Amino acid sequence: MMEHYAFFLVGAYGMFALAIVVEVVAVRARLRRARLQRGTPR
Amino acid sequence: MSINWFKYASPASFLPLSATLAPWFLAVAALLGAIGLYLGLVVAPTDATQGDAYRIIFIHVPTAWMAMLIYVVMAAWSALALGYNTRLSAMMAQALAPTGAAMAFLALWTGAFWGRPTWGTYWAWDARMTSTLILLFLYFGVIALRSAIDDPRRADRACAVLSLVGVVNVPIIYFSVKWWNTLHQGSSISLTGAPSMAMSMLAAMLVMTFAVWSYCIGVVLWRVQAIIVERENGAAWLAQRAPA
Repeated sequence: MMEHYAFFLVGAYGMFALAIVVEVVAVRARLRRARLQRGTPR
Repeated sequence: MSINWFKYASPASFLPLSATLAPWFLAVAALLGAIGLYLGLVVAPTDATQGDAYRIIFIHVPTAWMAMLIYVVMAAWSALALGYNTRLSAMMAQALAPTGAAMAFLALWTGAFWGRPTWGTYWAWDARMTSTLILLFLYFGVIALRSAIDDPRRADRACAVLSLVGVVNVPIIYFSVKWWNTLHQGSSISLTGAPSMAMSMLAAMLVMTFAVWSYCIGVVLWRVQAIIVERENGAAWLAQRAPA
């Protein structure tokens, strides 16, 4: 039964996981960049 | 014992606090997420009419709720920023917008993947879907407006006004299923009535809701650290802090 809806479940849960991964990577990179630039003139 | 809340209105005090709290919220989110996904994908039974397609509910409803809640919280911080001219309030509003946009996008995306097998269409110009799309555009508008203005304090005020004007959309989304008789179903759970779903389904949905909630708090507290360091760059208090 689950196989019948696999495309939709994978499409929804896959994007959910992807969005979280992208956001976490982006925030991590932003914080790292901000810390590296600390003390440098704007 | 009384807590001096105003102490934490200062970026200098809030930076270490957010650095301490963010990993805890993210850890709780991971734990609850694992439990919620197990309950939702393994324990909860197959729906009698929708089959397994309904299992999208366990991410669709939490992300949709968070998209609305984050907008209200962003507007509240914006009101504080306008009223008290506090730097941290504007920074919190700034940190909330991308996560809110992500949640609104996920609510629409997961809704589309639920709509196709159950309604026969990925998208319809239904009242709730259209008002949620407007919410996503409001988030994009707030983010774009901030990047369009060079002076951060002017950007704070402009974004605060846009956030406060846009908050009128949130009750429209919430009540859209009652006001207009369109495609989207009504609420399955409410604070006053009994839920119209099995207890195991409800448990999985609530656990996932707390997981997504905890994730949003954690990631926003994480992002606000970057914003504080970016915007307070050159400030004496930040220069005196040991390198993180």
